[in-house]
Amino acid sequence: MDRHAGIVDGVEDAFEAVLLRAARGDGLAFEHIFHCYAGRIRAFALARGAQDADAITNDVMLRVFQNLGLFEGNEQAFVRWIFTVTRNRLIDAHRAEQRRPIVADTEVPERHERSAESVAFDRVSIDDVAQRLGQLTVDQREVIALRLIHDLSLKDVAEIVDRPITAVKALQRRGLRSLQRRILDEGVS
Amino acid sequence: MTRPDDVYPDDMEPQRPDDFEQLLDSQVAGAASEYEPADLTADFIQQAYAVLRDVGPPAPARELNEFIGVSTSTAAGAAVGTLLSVETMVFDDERKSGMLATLIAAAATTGGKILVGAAAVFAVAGGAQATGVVDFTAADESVQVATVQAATVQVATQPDIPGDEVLGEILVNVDGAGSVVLLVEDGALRSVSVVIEDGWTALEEENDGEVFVVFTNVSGDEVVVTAVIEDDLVRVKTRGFNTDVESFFSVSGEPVDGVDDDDDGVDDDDDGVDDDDDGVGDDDGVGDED
Repeated sequence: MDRHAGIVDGVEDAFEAVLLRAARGDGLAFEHIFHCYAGRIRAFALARGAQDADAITNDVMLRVFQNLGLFEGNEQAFVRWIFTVTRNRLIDAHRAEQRRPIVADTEVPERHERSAESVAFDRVSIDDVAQRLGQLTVDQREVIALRLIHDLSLKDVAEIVDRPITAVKALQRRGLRSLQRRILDEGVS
Repeated sequence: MTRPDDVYPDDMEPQRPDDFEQLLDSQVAGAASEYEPADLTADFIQQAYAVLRDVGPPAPARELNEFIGVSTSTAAGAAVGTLLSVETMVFDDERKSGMLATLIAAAATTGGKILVGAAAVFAVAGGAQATGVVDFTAADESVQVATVQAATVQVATQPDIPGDEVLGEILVNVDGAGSVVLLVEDGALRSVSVVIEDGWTALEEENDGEVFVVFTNVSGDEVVVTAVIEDDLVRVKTRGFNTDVESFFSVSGEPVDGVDDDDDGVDDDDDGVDDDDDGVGDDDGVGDED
């Protein structure tokens, strides 16, 4: 008998129990949800180029907690929901940043570009990943980041970014080709 | 709805397998990449996958205090107050029903460990003794060592509940993730405390006499501890990564070694010693008596 199989089933049931308890205002359930998902949300925000990923993560968690009673579905649906909320919040933040007046002489210092070889042989940091993904368009970047961060399928990503699967596949393909091109170019130079 | 940036010239090309899409798909699926490490793009994707999953949560904002009932502060004063509130939760009616999962979350101590559960309060107050100890290494999947020893470890004082027959405690120590203290009381098995290391959460459930605690970290790593009374013995199973360890204790918490649990007449522990003294040798080809 595979006892572990039963346990895994129990954990899935437990996720629903967590949601139920959180919907009833259980602080520990909220804490559990924060601990499980806030890191992934923050990673998505960083990968998508957010300037204040921590604030956005907290804001997303606040929105999720405030609306948890309205949510219905399983864990996968919950994941899609929180990443959709995150993406919407990131779009709002990006628009707000664009509305801010640009002040001369306050350009962000250019980051030190790591050579392709150093990227290959050293463990990259989250800044390196964000910088590299930042070379892509926002749409390409978020598709690739979502696929990497939470094992999301193309279908899940399509739902989160509100696009057809074919468009998501195209964004992924273009993004990966662009990454390859830039990395090879840096290697040659 | 079609958006202006949905269609690029590349999209007009017929669909064909793309090496890097396959790489991404295989990475997401957890499969091994067929690319050589020298492939820089493949290397970047693989490292990005790991790095993005290592990102931890930020400190909770003050606005979240309305929802998160347990402080994540490391202040000692806050910890004691929090633990008391956790105790109330752990022993509420739902817990007593033994059916609904009890969520164990954060309540930090100055030592950096997170103590949760009723016995954690007792651990702050004073000491008592656990008779059985299981050490399980979870942090390094290359290590597959578990020891069962008759050690005496200071864990927690017992709850002073008149009429309860407290026979002994079993400490299951999941290195890197936390620990669980089990207790057989009036013939029933229950967990009296769960201690969680930083970066981990635990979900505890008691169901039909079986206790299980699932430790999970932000990377999704999971260690599962299950315990149940079988044939007057406490069977403790700890499973994580590629490691699967099983140990047995008497109901008084004393470790029991060399248990053949499946009643198949075969000594399973592969230690070269026939444990059952039945005149039949182990199945290693060397009998103890002919």
